[in-house]
Amino acid sequence: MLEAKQLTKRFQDRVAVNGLDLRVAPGEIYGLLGPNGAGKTTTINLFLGFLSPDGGCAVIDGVDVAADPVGARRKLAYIPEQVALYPRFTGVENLEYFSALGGRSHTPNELYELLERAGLPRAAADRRVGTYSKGMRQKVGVALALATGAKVLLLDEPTSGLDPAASHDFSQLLRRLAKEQVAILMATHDLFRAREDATRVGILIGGKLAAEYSRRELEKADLEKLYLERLRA
Amino acid sequence: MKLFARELRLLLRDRAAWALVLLFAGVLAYALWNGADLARRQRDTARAIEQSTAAFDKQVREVLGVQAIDPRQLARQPLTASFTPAPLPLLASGQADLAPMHESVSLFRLEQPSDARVEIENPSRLLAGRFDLAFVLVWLFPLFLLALAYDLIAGDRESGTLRMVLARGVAPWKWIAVRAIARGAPVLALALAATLLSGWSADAAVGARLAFACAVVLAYGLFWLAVAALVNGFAKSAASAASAAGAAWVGIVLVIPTWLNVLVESLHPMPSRAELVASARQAAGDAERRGSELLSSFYKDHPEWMPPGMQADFMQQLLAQQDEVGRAIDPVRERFAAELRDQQSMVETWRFLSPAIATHEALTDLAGTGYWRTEAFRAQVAAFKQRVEDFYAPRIHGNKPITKDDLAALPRFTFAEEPDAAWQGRVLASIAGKLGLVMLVLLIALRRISARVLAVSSA
Repeated sequence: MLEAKQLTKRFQDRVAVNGLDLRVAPGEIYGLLGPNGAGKTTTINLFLGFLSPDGGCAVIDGVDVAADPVGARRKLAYIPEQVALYPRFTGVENLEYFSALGGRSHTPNELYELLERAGLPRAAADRRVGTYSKGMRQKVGVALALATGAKVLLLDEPTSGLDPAASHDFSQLLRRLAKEQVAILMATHDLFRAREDATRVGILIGGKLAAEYSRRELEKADLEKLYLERLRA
Repeated sequence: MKLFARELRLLLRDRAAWALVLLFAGVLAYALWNGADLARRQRDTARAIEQSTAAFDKQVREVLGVQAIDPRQLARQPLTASFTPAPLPLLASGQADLAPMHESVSLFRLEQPSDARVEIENPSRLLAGRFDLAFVLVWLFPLFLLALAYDLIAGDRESGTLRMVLARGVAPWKWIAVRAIARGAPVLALALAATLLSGWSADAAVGARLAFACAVVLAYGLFWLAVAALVNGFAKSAASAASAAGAAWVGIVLVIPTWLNVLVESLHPMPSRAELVASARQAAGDAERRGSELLSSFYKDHPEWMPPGMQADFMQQLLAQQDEVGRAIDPVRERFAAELRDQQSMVETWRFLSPAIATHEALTDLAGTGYWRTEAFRAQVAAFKQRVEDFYAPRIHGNKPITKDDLAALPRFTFAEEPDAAWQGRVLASIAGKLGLVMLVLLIALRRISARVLAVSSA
């Protein structure tokens, strides 16, 4: 479970996140929408413990992030917009390296299986990452999330720049993880993916949650229209 | 340990890293070869002196077995005070390429030539000396270390892998520490191996000296890895980290030692060498002119040496002149010695301004080619000269022949090494000082990195 209680972050005189209350339960996919500068990435950074909150708290699976950032990070998986990997390592070596950093140890077969589950074939897994496309690097990021077995997944623009097929595969994977009771927070500009995958969608404007829609509401309404209305309000 | 192995594998995937490691191995091998050449020459010289001294001893023994010898005849033969070869000459040539390996001591020799031959300068000047192992370890080893470790996290910050790494829940300090050690490991291992190899052809038991030398090199290496960590705490990109690391090297290895050298020489300037030689010549000329007057005055000071009937010969006059010359140039020599002592004392006090100075001092000390052992040799040679004079002068003035009963008392020089505890104390202080600096730099680096990680990761 992932929770924000009155979470606030200021940068000098600008309030980036303003008393955010948010709760993502196990099995939920929460789509966090908002224009550039709305505070989406700042919220993700607060959950990652890369920033200290000025008010309120971020909690990952019962661990207060500000009090124990390293402990909280061990309970989550994170896939950024650009999955940055070591180009001199192969895909499987990168997976092994990053898993080990989180204290996880896997046999070579397990690593290949994880990459295959994420959609990266064995032949590609043995190639140096320097030769990978963005979609392939994203798949290594997904395999890494699978390898951690985390119950919380933070995604920051995960489908940005992916082709439709890769984006579709990614959605399928998210849904599988949700079925495995993973709580997923996805900051995105991709209204289509948010509507397709999210069980709840929140619109963040000026660091505040301006609106929130359930799956049922999303099925009945046009998300793009709702989003634009909120922006103009 | 697994994290270390992974970091090492990551490093060794870089061809440039291999090139650097191979280049460093080559440089070390050349330095050892260079040092071996010096060590061989020292050993050969010492052996030749030992043989000629033994031959001379044997000859004297044989002659004294059958007849007494006029002390004037024996005193004319110069005696050689041989400096025992350094315990670890391959490690550092230090003052060995300036200070003589032996001194010729004779009763009939005016004072200035031997002292004028000896280069009594500040040891820190020797930082720019021969291409020996100490030169490579003090000057080039940090460069190679920094070349491999300058972008501990700066590159990751640029590429975005820093966020990926930190999101894994690894403690930043642990990851950076393991990475720094892994990046430095190949160069550090080569430096330690070369240090151990410097004891390869050593004659004496040098185990303790080698262990101390390894500790000195390790502490110096850790200092530079801590500098790399500090640089990464400030640098925003790999390029700025490289520039900052280069600036740190120039400052610590080049600028501070040069600045300290200038400061030391300004505050404690050595008297002019020309003044020493000129005053000795003038004293010798005066003494010659004053001739018999000087001898009378000498016998007033030493009535016990006055020959029966006061019939002084040439050698007795020469001894009296030499005594006068010594007296005339003693103040100049003492000024040299005092300034040298003050210079060394100042270097000792301020050496931790630059760990390069402290490391060079420690390595030359361990090699047996540093200030302290060379100074001990000079002091023992001076004492030996006095012993030679004390032995021959009364016999020459008293016209007393040397017999076989004097055989055991004939002056012979044997260099006495200082007790191990003396050099161990100095080197331990050097290691402790460097480790203190490591802790200080690490403390600043870790504070900076923690703050930096949070600030930059949020970008």
